[in-house]
Amino acid sequence: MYGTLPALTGLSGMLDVAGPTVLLLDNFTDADATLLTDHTMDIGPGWSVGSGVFEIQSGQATWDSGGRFLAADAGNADVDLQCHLGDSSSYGVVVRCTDDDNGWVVYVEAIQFYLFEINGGSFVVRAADTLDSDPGAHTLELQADGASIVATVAGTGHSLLYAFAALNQTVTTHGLYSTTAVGGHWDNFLVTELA
Amino acid sequence: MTQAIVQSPWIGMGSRQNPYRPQLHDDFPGLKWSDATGLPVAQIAQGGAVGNIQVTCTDAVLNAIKAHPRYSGHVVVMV
Repeated sequence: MYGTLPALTGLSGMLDVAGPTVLLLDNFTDADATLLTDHTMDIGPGWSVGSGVFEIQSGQATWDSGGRFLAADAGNADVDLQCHLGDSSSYGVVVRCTDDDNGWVVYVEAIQFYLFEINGGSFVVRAADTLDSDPGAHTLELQADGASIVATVAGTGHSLLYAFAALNQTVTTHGLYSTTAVGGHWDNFLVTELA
Repeated sequence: MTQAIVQSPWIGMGSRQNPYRPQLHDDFPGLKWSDATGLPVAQIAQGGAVGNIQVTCTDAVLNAIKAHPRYSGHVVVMV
């Protein structure tokens, strides 16, 4: 009757090996024109922080109007985040954001790679690098760990580090960031506990 | 590539189009750098702030920074 217990224990061990806990996941699978605020994430409580109006088009998120941020509560401020971006035209991701005016933003603009602190509505470049070429579609990887934020353009060998990230250090909402242009294409948004 | 700490003034107005940034960023476009001081935004906004910037660059670029009148004598190479 209890013969299955050893097998379950073994399964638990296998799950531990599989990787860190997924806190937020969205592949943006929904009908075109569905607002992200009306969309159910694959994993996570939903898109609720920030005033950006983002919607789904062709299985990706795109920005339509309103504020620049839209984020979801991961329940953890220290996270690994990754997201696929359709091109390199000044939109990216944000971590630890409380509203449109406060958070940590990473994006690529052509060949320029930036980490911004947006603090009380003021933009501060805290780190920058120049890529070897315009990456086009790319994946941003970002790790927020205490006062340290590390951002990487996957596969390029280019990363940014800022070690004094005091703003919103315990804020648990992370998400999408757009600049002024309508559009952008976000996909495969994933936030996990630190590995 | 060489790493160094460079003292740089901060410039900008804090807008997205004209963000606060080290003067070094404009003087040496394309430079890989990160803020190594973490000055509070309020201090930068007051104007006249100077902070340490960690740069990663070729020896040629580092020599150009050392030779620039704004940074001459304000560069420490990291070993």
